[in-house]
Parts: sequence; C-alpha cells; structure tokens
Amino acid sequence: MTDSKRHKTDLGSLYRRVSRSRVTALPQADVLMALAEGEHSEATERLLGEVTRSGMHADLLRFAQALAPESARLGVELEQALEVSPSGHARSQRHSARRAIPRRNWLRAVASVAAGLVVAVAVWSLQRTHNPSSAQGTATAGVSPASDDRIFAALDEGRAARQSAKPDQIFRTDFKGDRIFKPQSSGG
Amino acid sequence: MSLDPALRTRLHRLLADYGAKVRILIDGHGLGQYGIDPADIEQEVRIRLWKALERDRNAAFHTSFIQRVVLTTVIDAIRAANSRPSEPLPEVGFDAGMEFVEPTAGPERNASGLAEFDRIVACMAELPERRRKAVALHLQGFSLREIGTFSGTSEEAARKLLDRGLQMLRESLAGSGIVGDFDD
Repeated sequence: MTDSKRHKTDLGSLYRRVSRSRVTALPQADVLMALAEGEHSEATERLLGEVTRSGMHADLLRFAQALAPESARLGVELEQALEVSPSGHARSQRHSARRAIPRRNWLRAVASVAAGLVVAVAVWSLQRTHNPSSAQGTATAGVSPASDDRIFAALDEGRAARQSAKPDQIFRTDFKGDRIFKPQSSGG
Repeated sequence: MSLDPALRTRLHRLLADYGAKVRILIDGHGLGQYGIDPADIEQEVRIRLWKALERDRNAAFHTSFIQRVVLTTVIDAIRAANSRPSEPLPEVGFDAGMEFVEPTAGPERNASGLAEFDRIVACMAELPERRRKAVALHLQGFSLREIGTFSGTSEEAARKLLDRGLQMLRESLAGSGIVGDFDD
C-alpha cells in the first residue's frame, strides 16, 4: 500500500479514534434506548449530537441496537418458563385476560362500524324508494309523474277505486262454465 | 420467592445464556476499551435480573426492562472506570491506519494527527447541520439506513445528505491542504 493510498483511508479512522478519546458526559440508558429504537425527542436529538462527536457514545448506541433482539428473546423465554410452571398458571390467566380486553374492544369497534353501515344503507335505500326522481335527476322530475308509494299503496284510495272499477276476474259476468262438466246440448 | 428446583435451574440457565451473549456483544463492540470488564458486567447483569425476578416474579420481563438493566450496568461501569484516574485504560488493538496517539510515532507525527483531526472538525463545522450530522454519523461507522433512522429521514435522503456533505468536506479539506478521503 502506498503512502498516499494509506493516507486516503486514514481520515475516517482518525476521526473515530480521536472522537473515542473524548471524554463527555455519559448518556442515560433510557435516552440511549429511545435513540436506538429510532425515537425522536429533544433528549434523543441531544444524544445524537453527542454520538456524532464521541466515539464512545457511538459504540454505546451500536451496542444498544444489538442488545434489543437478545433482550426480546430472553423476555419471551422467561415468560414461557414462568408460565409453564404450576405456580405460573395464575400469571398466565392474568395475562390472557389482559390480552382479551383489547381484543374485545376491537371487536366492539368493528361491530359498531358494521351496524352503522347497515343503518346507513337502509336509510339510503329507503330514501331512494320514497323519492326515485332524485335519482333520475331534476330534468325528468317534472316530466314523469311520481309513481305511487309501494309500501302505502294499499292505502291509496284513488288507486283502490281504479282497481275496483275493473270487474273482478273471478266473479265477472262473462264467467265461462266448466267445460268438463258442461252439459252436452247435442244430446247425442 | 419459592421456586421449584427445575424452574430455578431453568431460569438460571436462561440468565447465564443471556449473560454470555451480553459479554460477547460488549467485546464485539469494543466497550472494553472504556475500562470495563465484560466478565464483571455479565455477572452484574445476571445478579440484577435475578433480583428483579425474585422481587416480583409476576413482573413482565419486557425487552425494554432487560435492556435498561444491561445498559445501566454498562454505563455505571464506564462511569466508575472514568473516576479511577490512577488505573490505566486497557490497551486496545488499533486497526490499520494512523492513530491519534501512536507510541512508536514521534511527537511530530502525533502532533500532525491532532492537527489533521482539528482541521477535519473545523471543515465539518462549515457544513450545513443536516449534512454535517450525516457525515459525522458515517464517520462513526453507521450505515445509511441507521443515519436515516436517527435523523428521521429516508435512506435515500440520508444518502443525498451524505454525498453532498462528503463532497463539500473533501473540497474544504483540499483547500486546507489535506489530501485524503473517507472510507465511503
């Protein structure tokens, strides 16, 4: 490696080395964890500033990042170990009860939304049935007569009168007799 | 707390495994150079977690709780090491490249390293804040994704900030008479 090549790669390591030797105030564990998780607050911004200047803070931040998955694994393993033990049964029940509460809340919310939708659709379809001209537009509203209300059509006296004007099909006067039992007039 | 022997053994085993992993992580991230003993940290973490288990067995062992125990232990140990001025810091294996202080180098070269660092810092101070932050995090060894996460930007935005920042820094350093590059 030539001197110039070696020198070229030296600036980055020089920065890291010197910044590691800088003694600054140590970070708080909570803030370090928050920054490692990508949270943003005044405290994490301040710590990020320290990380850019101090190699020790940068090392601690990397360490905190690497620690998270191992800590999560231990948490799960401890939980499992305590739940399978006989005395851990009550704890398990408490946990499942605690988990059930948000699940119930979620179901309740979904049911409310569904009920609301059903009501909205019912109201909308009722409105359409009552006032179909609104669906056809104002242009046709004045031309075509509004059709009768289907639900309360039976109460429409005019329509009932119109219907009564027609002779009853069954008892009308031109009722033709039964052809099978009709008496044979030919006598033959 | 009364634990049946099998459960007690299992919990001890889990904490021992975790302690070993913590020790490996401490070694792997070079935290030993700050005057702490990874074996001490491992033991202290195991003790603290066991005490927490004994104190409240039903307490949920959240990731954040476990992580806080370890980080607090490490930070406390570094603080304790820093407050012992008579105790020399352990020697660390320097990677290839010029170091801040090299025992074998003469005073002129050490002074040169210091001077170069000061000039790098001075040139970085001229950068706009977001670019300076991206460059500094890059120099500290963080990836583009990490820079984006810490800065609250996307990876692509972090890349642009870094590219422009490094370009400005190179030009500024060249103007100061430093011909060099960063491992980008």
